[in-house]
Amino acid sequence: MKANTKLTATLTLVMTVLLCGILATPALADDRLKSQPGYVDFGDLTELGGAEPSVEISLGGAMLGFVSAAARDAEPELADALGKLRSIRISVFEIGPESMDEARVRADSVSRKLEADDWEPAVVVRSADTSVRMYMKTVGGKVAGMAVMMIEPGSDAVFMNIVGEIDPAQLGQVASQFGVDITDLN
Amino acid sequence: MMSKEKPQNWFDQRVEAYVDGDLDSSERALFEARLQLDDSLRREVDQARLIQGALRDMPSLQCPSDVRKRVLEITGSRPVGFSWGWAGAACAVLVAAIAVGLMRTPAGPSEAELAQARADMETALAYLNRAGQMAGREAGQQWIESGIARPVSAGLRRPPEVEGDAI
Amino acid sequence: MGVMSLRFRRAIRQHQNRLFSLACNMLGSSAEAEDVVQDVLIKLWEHLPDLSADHVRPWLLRVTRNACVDLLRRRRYQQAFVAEAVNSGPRAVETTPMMELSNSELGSRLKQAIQDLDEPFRSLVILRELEDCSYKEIAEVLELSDQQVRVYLHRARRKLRHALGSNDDE
Repeated sequence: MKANTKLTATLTLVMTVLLCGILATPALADDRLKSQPGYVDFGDLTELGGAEPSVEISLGGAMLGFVSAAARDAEPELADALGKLRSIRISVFEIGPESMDEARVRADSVSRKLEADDWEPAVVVRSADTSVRMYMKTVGGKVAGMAVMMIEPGSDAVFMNIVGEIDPAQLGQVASQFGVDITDLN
Repeated sequence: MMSKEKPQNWFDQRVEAYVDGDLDSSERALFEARLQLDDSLRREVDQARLIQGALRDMPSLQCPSDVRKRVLEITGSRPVGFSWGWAGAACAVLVAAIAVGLMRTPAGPSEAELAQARADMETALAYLNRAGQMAGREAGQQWIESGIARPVSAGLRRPPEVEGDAI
Repeated sequence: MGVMSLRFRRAIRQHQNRLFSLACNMLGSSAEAEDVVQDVLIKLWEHLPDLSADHVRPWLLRVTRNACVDLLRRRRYQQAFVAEAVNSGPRAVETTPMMELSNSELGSRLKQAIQDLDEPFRSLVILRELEDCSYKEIAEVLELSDQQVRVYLHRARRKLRHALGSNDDE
């Protein structure tokens, strides 16, 4: 009986340590990502104008590494472009006229924060139809992060952050291969 | 094969197939010949069409948002793929794996996870491309040509249409 | 938030209404349908790593349908069938000819007639006519051949037509 109790206690201890390790791993990875200079905190993106995101993607460095490795033979440029990325996050909301203001306020707030943190506005466009803002963070002459906010009235509000060593020309070229109709993606 | 050789229920059993266009040509010809003569069969066909239409007009139902919330609450406290029934077995396997040193090699994603990640990556880049195109359309052709290709350090400037920093 | 967690949330968003609709139409009870959908989605969380993107929807439909059939069987055993909100209309035999019914009357009689169908006819009608599933998808969910799906579906609709009073030879 005593031996059984001891065995049970040991197993319980081992399992507790293992479970703590397993559960802590994503949290640690999350913290590491947030400490990256190219990381953008968009605030709470669980909803906008009462609606949940229609697209919500978060790819971490490890998964991007696997995707990159899988693409290595057939798509070397894609593999290169993804290889140094640490994260791609995107939230897309379908917006109607009623949630336009909230989307703009959210984008304004993030813009102010980014500019205060020395992010460079690469594109800031406003027209009656749409608004697009792209910001980039450079560290030591290299682009370490990209933030994209796009608002199309009656269509989508997009918040996107790419973290890692980015070659904008290469990424732009790769992205153009995936220029599919966004409306099909939802 | 003549229509009169068929019993009444032969036609009745084929009403829905006829409405769906699923009868082969000989059965269809037979059925249509009978339709010309048989008022009650015509009525059955009309009613079958009415039912078909009514079924398709039934409104689709919205799942109450509480369900999603409850599911996310319950699953939020468990690792993906977790079920209590398998937890014990999984732990035993884990311990055994450690014992033989297998844990030194990090496990890769499953095929399904990898395919999903690839699809997600494509979706994200499609939006990036879309943003580049829209910026180009709004701000001038040079943005389409350069897309996001011009590095910030090379002096990406706001196009003339830009009105201030904030949109 | 991990990829699988996002995939899970997306799957819920994408399929919850269809599953709820399927369960509601199968069971005739929105409260029971909620419970079924909740259980099915929790099961999805457990199985998602093993399911490729193409298999999520058929898997969900099959598990939801099977859960409903189990529940209906238990109901029958307990002899405690209770018609709830969705089909709370009168079950008395209607005498009005079908062609003279208003759309809403026909709709409510149809719901009741669907409830009264046996399996697999009920699932067939719901999956095909209400949920707009393909024959191939239904064949996968019900483990039938495409041809069986077609034939049984005709039979199911014939049962509905007869149940709605135009013919009583079945």
